[in-house]
Amino acid sequence: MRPNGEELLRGIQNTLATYVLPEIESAHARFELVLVTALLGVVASEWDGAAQRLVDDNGALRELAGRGAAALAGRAEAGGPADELRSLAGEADSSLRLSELSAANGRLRAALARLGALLEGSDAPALRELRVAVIEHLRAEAQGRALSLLGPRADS
Amino acid sequence: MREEQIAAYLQHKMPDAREIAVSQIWRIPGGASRETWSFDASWQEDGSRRERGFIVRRDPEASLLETERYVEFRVYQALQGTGVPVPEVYWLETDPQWLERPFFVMGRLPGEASAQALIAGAFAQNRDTIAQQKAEILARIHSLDWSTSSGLGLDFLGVPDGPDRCGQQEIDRWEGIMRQQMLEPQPALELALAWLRAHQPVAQKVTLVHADYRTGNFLVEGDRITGVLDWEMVHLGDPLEDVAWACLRAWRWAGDARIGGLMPRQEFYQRYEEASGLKVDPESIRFWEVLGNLKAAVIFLTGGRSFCEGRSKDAIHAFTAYLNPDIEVEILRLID
Repeated sequence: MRPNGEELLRGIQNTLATYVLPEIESAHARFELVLVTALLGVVASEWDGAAQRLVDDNGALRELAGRGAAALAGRAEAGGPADELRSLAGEADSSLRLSELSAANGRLRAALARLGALLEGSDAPALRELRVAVIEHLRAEAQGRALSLLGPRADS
Repeated sequence: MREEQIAAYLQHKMPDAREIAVSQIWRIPGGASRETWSFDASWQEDGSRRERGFIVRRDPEASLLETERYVEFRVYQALQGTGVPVPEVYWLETDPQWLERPFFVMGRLPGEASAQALIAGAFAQNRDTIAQQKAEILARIHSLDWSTSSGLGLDFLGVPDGPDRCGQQEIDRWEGIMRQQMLEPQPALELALAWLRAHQPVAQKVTLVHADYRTGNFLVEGDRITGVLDWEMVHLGDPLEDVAWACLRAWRWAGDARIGGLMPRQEFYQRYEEASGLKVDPESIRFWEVLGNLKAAVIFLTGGRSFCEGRSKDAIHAFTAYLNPDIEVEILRLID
């Protein structure tokens, strides 16, 4: 059915900007409406790729969980985290519903958060490599969601 | 907020005033924590007509920050006459009968706060002078004697256990808020916390820290900074926390590498060092820049939660939550 979700959101954006915004006198209300139209644009941009993004992220996080389980195996302090990571690494997405993909994503990211804390300051080469891999993945994933509104780096 | 509400409050606080007239009430856009309203008032007193511009800082229904209003009010009071330009504060009101929620009233200072206006507007010709004042005022804040025994009486802000504990104090503060507010796991922020715990600097001294010192939070008129605003996160700690916060990429309003749209980083450091006598240590700055980004992310996820739960109707609380991926990228770059 057309307009689809993305087209509808962008259309509402245009309607608000064309007909509603010029009629508003209050500075605060104008500010709110500008933000609302910007948010509609954000949702429209995410619309088509939202499920694929989560599927891809869950796959990459499971791979990292598997590497984490292997790297922590046999370490005295690891115990529970290694088992949890191994278990998560073996899961698979069984639905393309955003709610279910997001729930799985949340479980994986929570486990990765706990793993990240274990990796900080470690001297073991395998754990240092894993920390680098975790950071690289999180950075790439966040970059994919970023609005890129921060200013340029000052010192680079 | 209506004229008659404000007039009734002014009458309550100024019983000798007669014929109070309130006008030009408007909410200043952009406030993401406490609501900021401006109004004009005139009244008859001691045989003459008086006029003044006021600002009301009212507690929001929900906020990016859950701060105690009396902290900001008392710090404004303490800073009068110190050389740090701040508005005069008049009344702190907790009774909701007047304006539905607690608020405080202060004088309206002249000047423009909008970062975009300062960068792009007629102020551009005064940029160098403003940049110098920005560094000097920050140094002035950090030079103040905050103690109750000999100075401004600001011990109530909480004195760190020592110069080596300033970092831990802020880690604890923002980790606590993060754990309370986050709606989903935050692995990038967890990595940041782990890194911060392992890289804590020792402060050169414990000072008053504004904690939101940046372009956009001070007023400029002509070539002069007329007021430093938004002291909601003020505390005692490491002065380099303020230096690093001012350098965050989030505040590079001019779209280039200048700090707050005013000056290059090294120039800011140099001006601050000359004015304060303190050294800007790059590793300390790195720590405080990671902490600052973490803090910004936690503030934004706090706003996002209040929006998700329907406590906030302000779109900025949803919008700022969408800035967090940018901040995560920056954090991960800094700790890599």
